[in-house]
Amino acid sequence: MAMEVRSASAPAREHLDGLVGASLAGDAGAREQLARWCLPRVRRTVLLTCGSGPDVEDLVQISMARIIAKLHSFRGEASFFVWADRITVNVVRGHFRRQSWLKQRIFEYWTTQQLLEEAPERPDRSCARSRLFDLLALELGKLKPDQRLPVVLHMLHGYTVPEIAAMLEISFEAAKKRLQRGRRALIARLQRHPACRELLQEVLS
Amino acid sequence: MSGFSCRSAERCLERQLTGELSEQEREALQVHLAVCEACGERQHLWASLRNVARSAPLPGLTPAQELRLLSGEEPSGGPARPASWGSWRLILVAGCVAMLIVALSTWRSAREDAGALPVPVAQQDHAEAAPQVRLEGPQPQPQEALFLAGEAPGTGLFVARHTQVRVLANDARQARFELKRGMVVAEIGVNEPGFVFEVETPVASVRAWGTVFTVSVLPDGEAFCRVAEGVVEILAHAAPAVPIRVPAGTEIRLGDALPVALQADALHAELGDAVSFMEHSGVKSELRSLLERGPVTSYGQEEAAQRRGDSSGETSAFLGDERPAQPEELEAVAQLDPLPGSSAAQGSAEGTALDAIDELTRRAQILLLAGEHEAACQAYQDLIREHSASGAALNSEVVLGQIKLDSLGLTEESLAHFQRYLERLPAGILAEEAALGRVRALNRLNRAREVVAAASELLMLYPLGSAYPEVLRTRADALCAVGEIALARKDYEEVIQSWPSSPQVARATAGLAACQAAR
Repeated sequence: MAMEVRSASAPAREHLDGLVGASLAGDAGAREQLARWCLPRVRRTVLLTCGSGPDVEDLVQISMARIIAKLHSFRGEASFFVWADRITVNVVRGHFRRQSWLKQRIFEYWTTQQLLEEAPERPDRSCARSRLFDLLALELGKLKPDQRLPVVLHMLHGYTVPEIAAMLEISFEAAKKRLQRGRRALIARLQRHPACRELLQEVLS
Repeated sequence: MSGFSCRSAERCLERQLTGELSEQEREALQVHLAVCEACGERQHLWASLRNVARSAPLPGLTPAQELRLLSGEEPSGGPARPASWGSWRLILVAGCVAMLIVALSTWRSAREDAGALPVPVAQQDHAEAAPQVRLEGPQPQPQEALFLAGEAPGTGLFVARHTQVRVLANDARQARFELKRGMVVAEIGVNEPGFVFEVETPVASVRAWGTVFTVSVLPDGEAFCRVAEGVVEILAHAAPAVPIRVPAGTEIRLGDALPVALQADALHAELGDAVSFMEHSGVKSELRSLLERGPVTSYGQEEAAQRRGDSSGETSAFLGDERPAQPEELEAVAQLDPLPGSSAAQGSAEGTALDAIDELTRRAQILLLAGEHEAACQAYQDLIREHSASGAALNSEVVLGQIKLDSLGLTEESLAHFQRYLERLPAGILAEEAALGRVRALNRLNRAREVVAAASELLMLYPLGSAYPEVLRTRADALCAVGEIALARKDYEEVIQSWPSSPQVARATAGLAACQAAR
């Protein structure tokens, strides 16, 4: 299924395909350029789906390593970013399978709390937009993993339900239900969160 | 469009996700979003969040981190990845060798240091790459990080990250931990007279018998206790003579020992709320298995006995020994004086009452396991009668309801039990079970309209409940019975499409066929 990327920051497809070709031909510069394009996207996906635990950086690294290592298997049927997202999603799903929900909830609680507490002291996380992103990651972390992934894929990358279903290898109906429930739960949680409105106003102002 | 409600708007927004929205619906939705403040706000929030998710600056990377991420190399000590059978064999062999080396080195260090074993301090540190419990002093390194096994079987602490826990005592008679900061989930599987399980915080001690509970100490020093099962006793340092008993389903602030408002939102919405995830049966069984498994580090009998013999009280604390106590060791422990502050030493009325509750609960559980349903009912009724103010009595209402409904066929009575629990503790730890029991009982009594109401409430309050498809199917049956065929069809279809492997599908398919025939 050919899927389109909706990220505004995405470079032109032809340019990406050219970089992939050059990377496969052994051009180290092209490979680095490709990895640099990919990195923020992969980090954003992993941060929003896995919170801020110590595994996050490893998961990003694993995803990046696999994207680079499997470049030869990219056939250009979908856009490069869709292909890279699929690899990232598989890494995240593997992580979910290994980590029980209980462990995620317990361990992420304090790491995320810590992150929020320390956020104002960290210069790169001091702006309202960053703190809202952290809050979003925190609230996404409360969703069950099977709801979290569809919500992140839709919210972050704009994938449609059929695309999410294909990516997660689940039925259309299951993807639809998970996305709907996850979205509903996320909005309800954020509406109840006292800091959310404040941060949102700050962002909009 | 006057007939376009907020609910319709929500449905439209959800259908928009799947691209199923017609042009007419889209226009109606736009009009509604423009005039309805609540829906408009929700939509605006969603749009803003999307924007933030896509454009917010990410946490900065150091040049070294960036280089590593762009290098294309997988992390050496990263999360475990699935391995092929060949790799597994290699891993097994390597693991055996490593365990042998660890066992030898810990055996040697335990021998050398058996005379003066300091109290260990465990501290989770997020800065480390892998979750590890850091121990101060010459301690065996527990392989099962983040878990402190109690010496008494089935007893232990699950330690959250960033948590500082100090083991004060850990043997067959007592398990005492000092929580300086962070969160622990405790489960106590023993119910021996005189056994003390205690978590001390800067403001109060939490003591429990046969209980699952959490204790959290926030960075500002505020401490909370949430009780998932059983009863805990809180002894505030400011008023140690006045213990406060806290029943299951309660959250309490430890400093002033005041119950926090018991609301569904408080219990279910807060992240990391151990009570809410304890309700998830799969999670709970996993926690139990973790508690039973314990750490893999083990000692020789000689070292443990020597350590126990050379030290007493607080200095006998250690981590990571999963070997059950030997008879001679238990005998030696039994000769120790009663611990100051233990229930046995105090002989307090509260302690006796708790013992009696535990005894009655245990008796009822044994009878239930033995299939003696009527006798088990009697035991639970005794508990409710004799300790009507306790949390255990309230929990017994749900168990009684379930026994009467499933085993004795006393549907009306079971319904009354569920109702009583829900009236007194609508957000209690067993509220979901009680609500489910109420739906089943009403369904059995063919009170279709009440089934619809009760099932709708349950579906709304517990959208992640494991019984969701069953309740949905039950509601569909009831809707069919009251003539709401279209709504019933919708529920049946949802069951069939969303839970294709559920046993409810066959009944939902039959119900759907009946619906179509009725049309």
